[in-house]
Amino acid sequence: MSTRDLLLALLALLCGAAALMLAALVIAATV
Amino acid sequence: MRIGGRAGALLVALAVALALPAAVWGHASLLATQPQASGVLAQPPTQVRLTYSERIEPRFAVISVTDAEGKQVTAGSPARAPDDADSIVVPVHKLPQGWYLVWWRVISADGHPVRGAFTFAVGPSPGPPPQFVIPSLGESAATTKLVGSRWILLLAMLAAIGLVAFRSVIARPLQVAGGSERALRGVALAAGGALAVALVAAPVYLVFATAEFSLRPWTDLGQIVPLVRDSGFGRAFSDLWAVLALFAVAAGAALALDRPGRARRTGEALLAIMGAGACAAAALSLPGLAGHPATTSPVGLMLALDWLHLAAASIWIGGLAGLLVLTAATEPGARVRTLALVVPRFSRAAMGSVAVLLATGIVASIVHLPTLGALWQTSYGLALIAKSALLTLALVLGAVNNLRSRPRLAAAAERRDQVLGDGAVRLLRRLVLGESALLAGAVLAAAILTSLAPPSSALAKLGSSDGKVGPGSVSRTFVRGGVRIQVGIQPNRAAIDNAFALHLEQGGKPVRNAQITAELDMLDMSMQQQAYTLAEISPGVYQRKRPALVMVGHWLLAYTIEIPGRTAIHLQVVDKADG
Repeated sequence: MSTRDLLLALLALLCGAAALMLAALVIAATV
Repeated sequence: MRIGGRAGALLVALAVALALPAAVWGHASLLATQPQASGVLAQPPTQVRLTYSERIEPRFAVISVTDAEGKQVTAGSPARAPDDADSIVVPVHKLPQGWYLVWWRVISADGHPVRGAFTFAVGPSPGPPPQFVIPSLGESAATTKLVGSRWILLLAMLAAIGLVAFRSVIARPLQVAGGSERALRGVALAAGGALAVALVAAPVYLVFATAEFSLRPWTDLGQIVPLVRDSGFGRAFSDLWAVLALFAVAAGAALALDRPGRARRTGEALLAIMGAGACAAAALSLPGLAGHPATTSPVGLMLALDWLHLAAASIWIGGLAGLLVLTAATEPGARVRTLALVVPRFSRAAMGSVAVLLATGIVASIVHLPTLGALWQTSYGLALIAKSALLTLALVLGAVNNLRSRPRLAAAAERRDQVLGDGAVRLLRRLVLGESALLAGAVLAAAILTSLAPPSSALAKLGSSDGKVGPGSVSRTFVRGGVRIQVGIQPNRAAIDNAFALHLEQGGKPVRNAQITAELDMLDMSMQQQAYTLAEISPGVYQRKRPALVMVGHWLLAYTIEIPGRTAIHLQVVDKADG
């Protein structure tokens, strides 16, 4: 378990959260 | 317990989908005009105002106001009305007495152009309405450039997401089997390549679409790029680009963390794959939000179906691409062993996704098609048939693979029979290639399908039509319940005053005092229904003059004839109006 792995995992999670938020914003603007 | 939990989750998802507010159907439609269509004004107007059923982006609206000679009389560009977001106004010069044609074209929320025309006159005595020529702007969202770039974007996006799923779930056991590092790296590289294509195709598609909306050449980038995010459609697709970029980062991290040799994922690898999954889920929701599902009631359900449809398609397409890459990147000696491990796993996933694809596709088609006949009568229906045919052929190839290649691979791997194995790999490769080509064709049909407007809901009323009339002036006689009904439409041309007349006779005598209403529905696209009553102008002759056929195309005229002392007579004709 290295710091690099943890940072990479956090980066991926952050990307996922940002993507979901963008989709939610589009849903809110459309529906 | 497990099954119960799944069913519960499904129910909750369905409830959420149904609880989302249902939008009204279809495309932007014109609700009101100022000046009133075909009205005669005492004072010249200073502007023309059009009110639509949804918010319209004025920068993509084209409103032309021309006089009888065809000269433009607008004094500026269209702008949103200060008091109403659904209305746009365009200023006009001081108009002299006479007739004017207003021709408009706006872009609906899903990126489809909608157009129409009407006339008005400035009085007090404008004279008879002239024969206006309606500008024919043969544009649609289905141009080669638009469909082509949309196709490449969709295909690359589905393949990229599917390849990542294939690499990190379906083909993952290869990691432990050893000796497959090169092949797995090949799959990851292919995913990266597909993502790169999608990341280029999205902006290209956006520029083409925005150029089409704003009627500019696409090379005019300086003018087009600032407009990209001015349409709901453009916003959704530029967000798709951002989400795909996020997916590239998250999937890269997830694949980097899942190192060869580990039978179980580490906690970090699991977190990263969740992040990539969230990005993929978001990306798969965006095409639907920029397309028909977002404007078709019930919106929540249609969006959920579209999401499932795309997710299933990506698993199938990405899996096939993954198998091809895997076969090519594995050393010939290790192919049989590799494929014998992966193919059965892919088969199971593919079967599940085919079931989801079919179920969601069928439900969506039932909602989008107002009648069964619309399937072969409209270009939307024909694209749907093409897509279904290609999918069916792909399914046949998949079934042959499942019944022939898979058992042969298993037997060859078990008996270590090189000859049998080579034959099985060759057969598998050929079938998978064919299946991939067919699926790419099906995605092309889907790209065309989503660029076409779904048939008008008025088509549902066509089944009971009593006859087809036009083009050109109409005089057709029907007999209903002993009453001779002569239907007249003069001169039956779009956008000008037409006389809608009925002559009623029974036993050679005119039928008097009937109440007649005529309802007009545009069949070629979704527009507001119009209803008029016909006045008795002489015994048994009922007439109304309106420029009701606001555009060229097919109109459904539904007459309700109420004669005192008898049940109402319904008569429906389909009229084709020319310009």
